[in-house]
Amino acid sequence: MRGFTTQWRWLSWVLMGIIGVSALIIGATGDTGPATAGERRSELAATIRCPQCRGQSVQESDVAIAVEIRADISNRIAAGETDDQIRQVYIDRYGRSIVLTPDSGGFTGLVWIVPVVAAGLATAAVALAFQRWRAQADALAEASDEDRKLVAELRRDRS
Amino acid sequence: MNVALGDAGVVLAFVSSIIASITLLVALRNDDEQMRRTGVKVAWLVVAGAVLGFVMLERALITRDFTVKYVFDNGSSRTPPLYNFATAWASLEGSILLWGLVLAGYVGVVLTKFRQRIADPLVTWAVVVILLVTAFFFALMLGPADPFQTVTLPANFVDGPGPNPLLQNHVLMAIHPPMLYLGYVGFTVPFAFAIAALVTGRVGEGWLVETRRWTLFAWGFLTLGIVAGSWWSYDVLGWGGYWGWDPVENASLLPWLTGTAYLHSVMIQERRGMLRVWNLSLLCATFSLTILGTFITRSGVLQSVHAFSESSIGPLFLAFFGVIAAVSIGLIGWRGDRLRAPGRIDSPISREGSFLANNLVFAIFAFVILLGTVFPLIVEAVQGEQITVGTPYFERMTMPVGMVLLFLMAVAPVLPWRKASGELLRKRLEWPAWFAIGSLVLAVLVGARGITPLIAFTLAGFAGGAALRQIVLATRRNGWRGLVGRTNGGMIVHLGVIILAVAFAASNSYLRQTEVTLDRGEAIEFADMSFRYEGTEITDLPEKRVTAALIVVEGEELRPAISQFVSGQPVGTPDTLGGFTRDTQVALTALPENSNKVVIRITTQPLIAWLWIGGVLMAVGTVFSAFPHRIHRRPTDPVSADPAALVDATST
Amino acid sequence: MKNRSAIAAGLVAAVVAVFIVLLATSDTQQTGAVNFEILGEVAPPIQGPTINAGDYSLQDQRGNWVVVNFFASWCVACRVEHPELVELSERHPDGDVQIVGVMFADTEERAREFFDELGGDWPALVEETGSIAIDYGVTAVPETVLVSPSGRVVQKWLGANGVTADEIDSVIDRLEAGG
Repeated sequence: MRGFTTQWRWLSWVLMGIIGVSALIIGATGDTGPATAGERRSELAATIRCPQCRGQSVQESDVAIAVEIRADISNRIAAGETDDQIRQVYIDRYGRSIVLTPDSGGFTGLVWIVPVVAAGLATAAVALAFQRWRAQADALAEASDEDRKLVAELRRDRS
Repeated sequence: MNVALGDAGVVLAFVSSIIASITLLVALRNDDEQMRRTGVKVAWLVVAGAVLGFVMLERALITRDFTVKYVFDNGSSRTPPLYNFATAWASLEGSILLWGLVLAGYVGVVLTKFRQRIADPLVTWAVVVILLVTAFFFALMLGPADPFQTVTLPANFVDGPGPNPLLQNHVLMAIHPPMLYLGYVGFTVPFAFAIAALVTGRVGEGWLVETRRWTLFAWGFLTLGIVAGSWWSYDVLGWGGYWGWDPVENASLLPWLTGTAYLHSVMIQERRGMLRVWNLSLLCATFSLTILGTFITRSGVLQSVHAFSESSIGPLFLAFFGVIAAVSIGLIGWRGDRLRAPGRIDSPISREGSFLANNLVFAIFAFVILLGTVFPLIVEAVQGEQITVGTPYFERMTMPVGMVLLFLMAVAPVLPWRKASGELLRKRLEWPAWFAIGSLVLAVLVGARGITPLIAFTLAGFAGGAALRQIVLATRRNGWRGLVGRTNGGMIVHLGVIILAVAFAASNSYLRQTEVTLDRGEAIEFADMSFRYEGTEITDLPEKRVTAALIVVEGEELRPAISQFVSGQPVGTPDTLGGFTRDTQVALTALPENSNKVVIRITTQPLIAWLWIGGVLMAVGTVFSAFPHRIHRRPTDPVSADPAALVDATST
Repeated sequence: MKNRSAIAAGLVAAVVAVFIVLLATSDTQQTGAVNFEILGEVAPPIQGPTINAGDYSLQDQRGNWVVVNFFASWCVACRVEHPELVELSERHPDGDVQIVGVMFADTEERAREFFDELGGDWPALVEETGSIAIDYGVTAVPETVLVSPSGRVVQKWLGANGVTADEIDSVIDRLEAGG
């Protein structure tokens, strides 16, 4: 009877896995990216900073320059320019700070790398701590000869 | 009179906090009971002074006493009463006074709750620390942030300008800052106890555990304050945004993250006596981050939509931050080794192990946000170049962190203390795993696409299943008591977080936005809804003129508007068609020249309402979590047998 | 390992100290950070119909100083600086210093009204899109750009500050003298 339950348990996990993977495959392939030019413009505009604002993107802000830049991006998309080309146009005219995503090369690239390195180091430190604790526990697991002698003495004293 | 009494209140609070601190320190040194009592009495004067100051500022605002410079700069006879009351914290000086008031309030509560234990040096030290922080804030009000300066009215004076238009457009102006301050300022109390424990060297007694409830209280209000701020942004900004990874927003999130880490790791300290130094560091870091956050908000070093106008107060906050950091680091460095406990965690696959992982992840989370926020300053200092680190960076970096946290939330509640076997895990996680698959299938069925949000929904289902399993088991065992108490309340908070995470992922991934020009009577189709422009409506109120466009959305009337105040920029107010499945927000991008044509921005996002529901659930869970235990025992009460009785027993 | 806390504390203290120094020495950021990317570059083309002088092309003006003024009728500071530009145009009737206006986020009708009201007879482009403004890195109006006779951008003024006939003349004189 117990064997049957464990088998059923494993079966249910396998079933879960199959359903899960199928659903993910359906879900992943259905994603087509920006559907219209308008949506592509919105996505691109969300990565370009409004030059006159305090940190908002051109997509969010409604000041004159943001409206103009949105229109300009629409024109460029219609003219067939790629996302990277359009971004480069803006970098040429307004400087690197116009783009909300920092460069992945050079000194600026550190902002991408340092967190990953820090996370790795921190995880390693915690793993080391667990190793040390395990070693401590192992060291204590074995009773030493001294301990055995002490216990034997105390037993003798009691009797 | 307002100025005179107001100033008197501020001076009283400042002087009393200094005198009380000195008195209590002397009482500590000489173990003088009389001095201690005097110190406490003087400390109560701080509360009196703060209340007096705040009441006088409100009085000046309400009576429109424009001879007070703060009212002259921020008040107006046209501002409606609620916003006029909230004008007390609309500008720098008033906000510092509010901070001082909340701080004084906490002084009063601490003095009341600990009145029977004030003789304990640790409590005395804690009170001294809080009083010194209070002294700093009231000192600011004697100098650069003086709310009670006077001004001679110019001959042709008619009326004041009123607060910033963005601050009189939404009722949350009256709620968000006070809640946020209750949270920020509340962290002063556990910090004070941490310092006191370090100074007296008594960390092993459970003091940290006792102040956990204070931390929970502050944390709960900080949560509410942040959620209220997001809600406010969403309602007024016009592009459906509720979180912009803006420096001020990030600054408010940092202490929340370290606070959350602390609330979990303190449970390891309770059980195993370990991580004392780490917990102390977390408390000190949380408080330091609140001061750092205040610095960022008020110094202008980093651009932000939420920043106050610049003033000379920035460097003072930075200096205070430096002092706090120096004192904390110094004390921990000095005492740290003595306080270290020889404990260990047996296995990473255990409740303790998961809390440790929790702390690790939250630390990384906080590090990433801090680095991203200050990185433009670093690049400017090193390379002289201007760069921007915006939403795309933060989203990409925090997304994996969020996923790991969801996974931890799924696994931790089912893990027992000390050690777990694979078989136990498999058994306990079966139902949550089905919940996860169910969530995934449901998401795919309603049309969600994209591997990243789908993984997020799966993990959220996993975590939700684990939390629900715990709650169901607890209520089956204990009835309604299965909902309260630390673990169960914590599960409710987790549920709130999970709901918020799902709403966040869904609204970000499936946002649809467009900008259209509509002629009067024209309709367009967008996101399976029709939008028809009917005309403009102009309303003239005493403090503003509101130009609204009537847009009919699927039979409902929406009125996005632009308000023109007497002074300041015109401010947009979008209108939202809310719902449990999705929100549709319409905003006017510019003041329409005539009523024949209008340019509107339409934003639809799914599950926005669940952001606020999740946030409220987190607050509810916090309240449940703080529910008293059946056996009300202080962690600092002695547990061993009464020594006197023991002597009697053994001597016979 | 005895003083592990002290070592850790020292490290943390060092990082925090650097952090504080960084914050203390950072200048407060200006909104709409000034954008002078274009200084020294070849002036981007300005071409198109105007409201008062037919078609205009910046290229045709080689050999003359050109003051390019980005303006809008709804912009208060533009109104403030406009008389100075009128003064400048009157000082240089022979055309060695030309002025050209470029409308920004406005309508042709309003631009006409603007000129009718405040005077000025130089060409004013009425482009539909803001592409010329974007080419010049304009963030807000008014912005005024000075183009040398060889076609390079040599100076840029933001807002109405510094846009006086005297200032423009003195900059031109200085640059001409400097060679």
